[in-house]
Amino acid sequence: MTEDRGAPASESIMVVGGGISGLTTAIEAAEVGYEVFLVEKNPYLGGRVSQLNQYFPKLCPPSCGLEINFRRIKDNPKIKVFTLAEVESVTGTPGDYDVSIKLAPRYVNENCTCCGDCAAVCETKIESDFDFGMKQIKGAYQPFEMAFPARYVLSPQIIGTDDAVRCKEACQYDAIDLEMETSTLNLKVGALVWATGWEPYDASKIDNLGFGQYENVITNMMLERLASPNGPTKGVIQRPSDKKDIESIAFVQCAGSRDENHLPYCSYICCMASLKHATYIRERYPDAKIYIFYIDLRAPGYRYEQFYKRIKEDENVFFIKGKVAEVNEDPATKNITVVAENAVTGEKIHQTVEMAVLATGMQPTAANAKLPADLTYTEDGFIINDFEKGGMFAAGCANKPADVVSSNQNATGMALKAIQTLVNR
Amino acid sequence: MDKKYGVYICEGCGIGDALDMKALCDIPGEEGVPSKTHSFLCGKDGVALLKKDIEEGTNTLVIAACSRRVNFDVFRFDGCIVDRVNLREQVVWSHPRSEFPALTEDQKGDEEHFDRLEMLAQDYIRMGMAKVKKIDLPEPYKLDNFSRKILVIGGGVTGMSAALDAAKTGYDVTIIEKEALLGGNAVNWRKQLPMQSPYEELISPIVVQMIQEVESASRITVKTETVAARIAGEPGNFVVTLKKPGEKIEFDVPFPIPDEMKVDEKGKELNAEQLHEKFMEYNEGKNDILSMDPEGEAFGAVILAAGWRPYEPEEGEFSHLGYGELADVVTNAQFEEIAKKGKIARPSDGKEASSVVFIQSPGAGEDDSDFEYAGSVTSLVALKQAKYVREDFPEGKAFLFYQHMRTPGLSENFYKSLQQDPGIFMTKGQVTSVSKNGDGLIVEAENTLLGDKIQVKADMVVLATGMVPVTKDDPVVNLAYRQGPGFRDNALFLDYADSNFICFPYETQRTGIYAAGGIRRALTVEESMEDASGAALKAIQCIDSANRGVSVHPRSGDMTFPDFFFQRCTQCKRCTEECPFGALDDDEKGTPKPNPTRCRRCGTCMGACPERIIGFADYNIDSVGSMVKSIEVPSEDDYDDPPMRILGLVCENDAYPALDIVGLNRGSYSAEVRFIPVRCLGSVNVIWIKDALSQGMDGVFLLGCKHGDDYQCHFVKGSELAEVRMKKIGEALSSLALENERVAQFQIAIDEYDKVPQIVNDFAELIEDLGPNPFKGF
Amino acid sequence: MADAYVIEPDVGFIHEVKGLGGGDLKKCFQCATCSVACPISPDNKPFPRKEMIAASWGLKDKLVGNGDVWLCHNCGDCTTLCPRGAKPGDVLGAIRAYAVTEYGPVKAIGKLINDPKKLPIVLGIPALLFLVLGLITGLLNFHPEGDKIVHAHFFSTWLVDMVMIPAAIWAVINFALGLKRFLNDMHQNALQEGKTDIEKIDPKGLVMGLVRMIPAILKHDKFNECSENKDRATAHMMVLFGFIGLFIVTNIFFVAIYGLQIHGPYSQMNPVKWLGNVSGVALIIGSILMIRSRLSKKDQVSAYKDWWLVGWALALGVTGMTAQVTRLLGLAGLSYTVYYIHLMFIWSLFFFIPYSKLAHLVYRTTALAYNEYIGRK
Repeated sequence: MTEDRGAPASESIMVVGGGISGLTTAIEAAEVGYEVFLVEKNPYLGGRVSQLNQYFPKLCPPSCGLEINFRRIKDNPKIKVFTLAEVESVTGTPGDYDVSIKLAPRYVNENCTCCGDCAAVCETKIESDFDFGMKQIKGAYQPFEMAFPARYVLSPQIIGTDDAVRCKEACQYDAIDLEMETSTLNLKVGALVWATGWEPYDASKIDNLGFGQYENVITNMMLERLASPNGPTKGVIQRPSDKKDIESIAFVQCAGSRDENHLPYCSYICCMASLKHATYIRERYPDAKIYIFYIDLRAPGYRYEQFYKRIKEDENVFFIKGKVAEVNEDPATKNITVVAENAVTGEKIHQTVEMAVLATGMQPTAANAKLPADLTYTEDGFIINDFEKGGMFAAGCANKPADVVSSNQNATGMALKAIQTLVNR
Repeated sequence: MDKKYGVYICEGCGIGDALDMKALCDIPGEEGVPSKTHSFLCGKDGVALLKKDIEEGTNTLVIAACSRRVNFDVFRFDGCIVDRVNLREQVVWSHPRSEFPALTEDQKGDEEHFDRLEMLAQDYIRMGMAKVKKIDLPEPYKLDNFSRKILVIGGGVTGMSAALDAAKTGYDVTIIEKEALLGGNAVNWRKQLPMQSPYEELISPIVVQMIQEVESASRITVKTETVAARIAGEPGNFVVTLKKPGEKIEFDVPFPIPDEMKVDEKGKELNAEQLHEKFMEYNEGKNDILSMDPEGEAFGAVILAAGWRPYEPEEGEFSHLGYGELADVVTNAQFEEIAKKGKIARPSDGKEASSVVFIQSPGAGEDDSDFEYAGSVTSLVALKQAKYVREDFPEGKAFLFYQHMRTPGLSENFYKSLQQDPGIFMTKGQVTSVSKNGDGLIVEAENTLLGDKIQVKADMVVLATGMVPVTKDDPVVNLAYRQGPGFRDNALFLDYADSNFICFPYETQRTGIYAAGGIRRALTVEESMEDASGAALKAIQCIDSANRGVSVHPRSGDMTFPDFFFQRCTQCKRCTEECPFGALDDDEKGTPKPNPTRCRRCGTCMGACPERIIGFADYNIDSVGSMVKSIEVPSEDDYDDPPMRILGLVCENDAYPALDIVGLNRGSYSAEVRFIPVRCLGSVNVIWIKDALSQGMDGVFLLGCKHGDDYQCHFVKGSELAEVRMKKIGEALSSLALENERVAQFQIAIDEYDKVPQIVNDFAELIEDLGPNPFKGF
Repeated sequence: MADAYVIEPDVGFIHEVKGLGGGDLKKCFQCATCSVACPISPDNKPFPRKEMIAASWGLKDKLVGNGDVWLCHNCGDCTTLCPRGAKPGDVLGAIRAYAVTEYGPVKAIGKLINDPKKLPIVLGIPALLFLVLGLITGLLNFHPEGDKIVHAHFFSTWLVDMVMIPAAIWAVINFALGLKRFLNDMHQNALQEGKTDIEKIDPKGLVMGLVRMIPAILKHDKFNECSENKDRATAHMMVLFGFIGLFIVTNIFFVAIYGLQIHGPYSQMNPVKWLGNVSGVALIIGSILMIRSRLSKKDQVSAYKDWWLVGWALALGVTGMTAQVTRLLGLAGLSYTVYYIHLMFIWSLFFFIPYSKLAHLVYRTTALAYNEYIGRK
């Protein structure tokens, strides 16, 4: 899939980032009839949402929409997908950009049939970033079952080891090519859409909340993986320290968000995510006690409001207005005690639970590594769209924190802005 | 085209090791169809081999290898009919030889033993061959009259923004606005929320300059004091009748008759003609939907941006807050008007209102929700209006009582900057009462962050009431569709014209009509403008797709469309009624009139049709029927204890991928089941099930998406309709002395692949217990 | 709970608190992080969250008479964790400054010393007072005879007492009046906010509370609970004990003169002298440490009122020490001048204490005692 068909710049758009926003922009533009290059740094498409178990408020699996989107890509030769690819430089002006892309080696070519023989013989185990290190995977792996492209990848960690050779020998289809090297590809495009998405804020930076110090303090994204059928526990949610069932759990809202020491803005999704997580817990533990500590519960819009109401009906879900500012562990039981002031009653609460989940927020990818293009950012690394100038646009969470629906609305709109650039150049 | 067949069987990925290639090749062989095997069909030589045969005239290929979900590009051959038989994921990978052993030499040919796996593979090859015989390459549907123009309903910020976006992309747009002036709600505002970082200061409403832009845009036509009387036709060729608001004309859209009118006094259902009569009576003075307005203007697509209206509290609805009783208690919309006029003055006596309380939640009882239709906008508006008080009076005081300060995302900055104002006071709290206090007001609240029950003196009180979509009051789009003039799902969405799809926010049940802005959710100006761009793109995309004769989402690019054999139509109207997209309008006799560009190609009509006169070039009653019939059903004549045969009709969107994953994970399930992928469970015609059972198959099940309010069906209603039909078929079965249990439907989400083997095996067991189908062998 | 409390925000108060170092108080969005961050805040009605909203609503009467603002030892833990940068620690500090002025019977004096521009006046008063009184009474002798330098020959002990004793009495009276109101308000506030259900204060119990608190105060227990700048404890301890030491020395001196007719200066061998010197040194080092830490703290505001106190303490120590050293070195002119200045500082310390930040010595102690008494944990 990764050969350059060298379409005329005037007709082509580059979308950087293959998460839900990037996919949307790319596919919507291509279905209008434009040539699209979709550039993704991971070996698979789907981005953050592919790590989620369910979407709020429908509680439906993201893989459902991804599968449709992948099919739309398969049925549409106008979309070229580049995985393991990163933009190195962008020069030029709206309507006429030269982009060079760095393609990292996958060490597996199009011959791969996903038969899995390589993984079977590979002995090295590596930490899966996809599962936030909660799972060990083979050095030769398929990112996840429904991954697109459906092709294995060799971790650079095993390159040059006997393992790599073993994998190569195990492959009957000569799909493993250890000679693959990083290559650069130059493309001409008329417009770019940056859908570089977000990263979960590094919870270990919030030192008063005990992440990284106490085993039973995890993040909301980790909980998504635990709840996922293809996650490290195949959907079983137990506390990390001793695989004990959950009788009580605390959700710490605004863990890093709305906080000038960390992320000054509101990350938009965390409240709804924790409400959703309450359903994950309830589904598995009918009488577990669930405590949600918040500053403001943000469930805007009729649909989210309804969802929130539904959760409130559960008499074992408790909402406390007060931010958790202290987290302790009982070394003996490994239980976690979260401390907050209930600001309405004016009482300090020391709630001991078996497990605490930090509702960490989203940080734009560009906050940690500026993009190689002439873009303007907010202090926090969100890309500011300049529609007057045109040519390059940010879509989804590269532009502002948002839920999937809004991101897709935004991403669809940005497809049009990109097309406008081509039409009006 | 005259077909030249070829069957190609791949030996790779363990297929060759598990299966007897020769035996498989004999199947096409029996019919004189050439077949070839290859050790690695998707590899270069494999593809070369296929290409060579194609050059030599083969144009109809059955490729028995891996799932159609992979190597889609490798096995795409333009101008050829290609069917993918899934021998890998759904045969060898999901049925390990360890569990499904091959026959030993002496077992072969006896009447006791059989090779389940071999039988499975052979059946799939037969099914593939049967299918390609019955399908053709699609020809795109071309509209005779085609328009690229876009109609925008609503001249507010959203509508204008969408129009400008479409115009900038080179499309002609007509905006219709029911009021005399453009601008919508925004023209009544003093100030507007910030639209970009740092989101700190209020700005003057951008609507003003937007109106100028629209009026000077050459591609945009503006028609004020105009509404759509009806929108007839289909994407690419909507025929629109415009009129002045309130006017009554013959092309006003007719409404469907209520159910009680559909029966005669004896309660007997009326026939098509009688129904149509009633319909015309009911819609007296209006033309039927099928009579096109000769003066009608043609449009390719419609953007619904009719927006919202301020919520109007009912008599005594918020009496505890004094609304209705106390003149100085107003809604945020009323306050905005007052603020727009100039210095904020009290309605009661026109005195300056320098102390104003803003209430964000009705606060009745324990309920902490905001006013209905609020979204997060009303929080932001309360902050904005608090600022007005401070602008007007140096000593002014603004109090905000919120339950949850809703300033999500970057609008948190706006909250932060407003906090800085020493004259703005905020607290979480439950307002219990607003009462008179001299010539002013006194507001009492509980559970505040100030501890005690508190009272605040105020000159005015403002309720942060919500933004009601105008679709609550009437359909607005006024579609001349047999199913009715409005969007169908709105009831699910509190009357907003929203989409139920998280991944596909523009997908509704009305192709070619895309809602944006306040009509779909409570949105800020910034959000509405983004939404408008998206809707504009979808409109443009729909027009171009219609022009290319291909479907839009989710079967984007699909060139097929339903084809009707009208001679046999019995005017039962089912297709018209059941189509999730209202693509069919039946005439006075009840004969359906297809509108192919409204169609999403799900095949629900095909599934609904009792006469089986609806089909697609590459997917029809016959193609699937023949696949069913091609399945070999062993009977006692063949074996002492013949294996069962179960038909599984699976949704290709969710269930089929799930099955693939079972194979990928090397799970395993009964080898007696034969799967046939369907576009949507809605397209399943009961005849297939009857065929299966009457040829002796022991059971049939449907596997598809979850339905209900949070439906996951990509065609909205498919799996739900199937469920209804399966219930009906139960009766038919009992008349045949067959147990209802032999036919079942199961719901799974795409990620529930771990559950699939269980579901399949449980059903197989159940059938086993019921014993063989009595019709077997006949 | 009491029936509805009628809120009337006092924007003027907000501005005053901002001016006294609480500049960011309006940034608070009531997440209550501060109440948890504070290591010494009780579980029942913890501070400073409720003080923060009261401040941003301008509810003066909920704050001035609020004992909790005195329980705070200004360690800055809350300020460090505050997600909005509202600096609760500094806001409480500002409220305390406001309260001190509020309880001083003569508000003007409070205003006087909280205004940097008025510093010359503050220093001028004692300078002038000494001069005038000295000249009138002739107890100020600009040509002390004898080769041995004796400060009393220049500035008669009588004159010292003539100015100092009234100043001390003044301080006591002011505090007495202030404390009476403060105690009463503090109790009312506690009742209203549900911190206690004891209807009437029983003086005995209160005193017992004080007695129980004293060791903790001396040991600086509260300080040591702070995780932020613990080191402050040492500095504060030095200054506090410095003052106490010098206070004792002064009293001994006083008794020695009028009781035993022993006149200074004492020889360096005299234990009382030792105590005096040690205390003096402690005072100097302590206040220097304090100034250092204030200068190094970025997130903590240092308002004039804060500099006033540490500055004063340092000046006091330095002038005292210099007067002595120069005396021993026989630098008559210099020594006498410095001694004069030294006395100025002592006097204004006495005179202004009820209005200066140093008043916390009294108010905080009282608040701690009260909290101990009502047994709020």
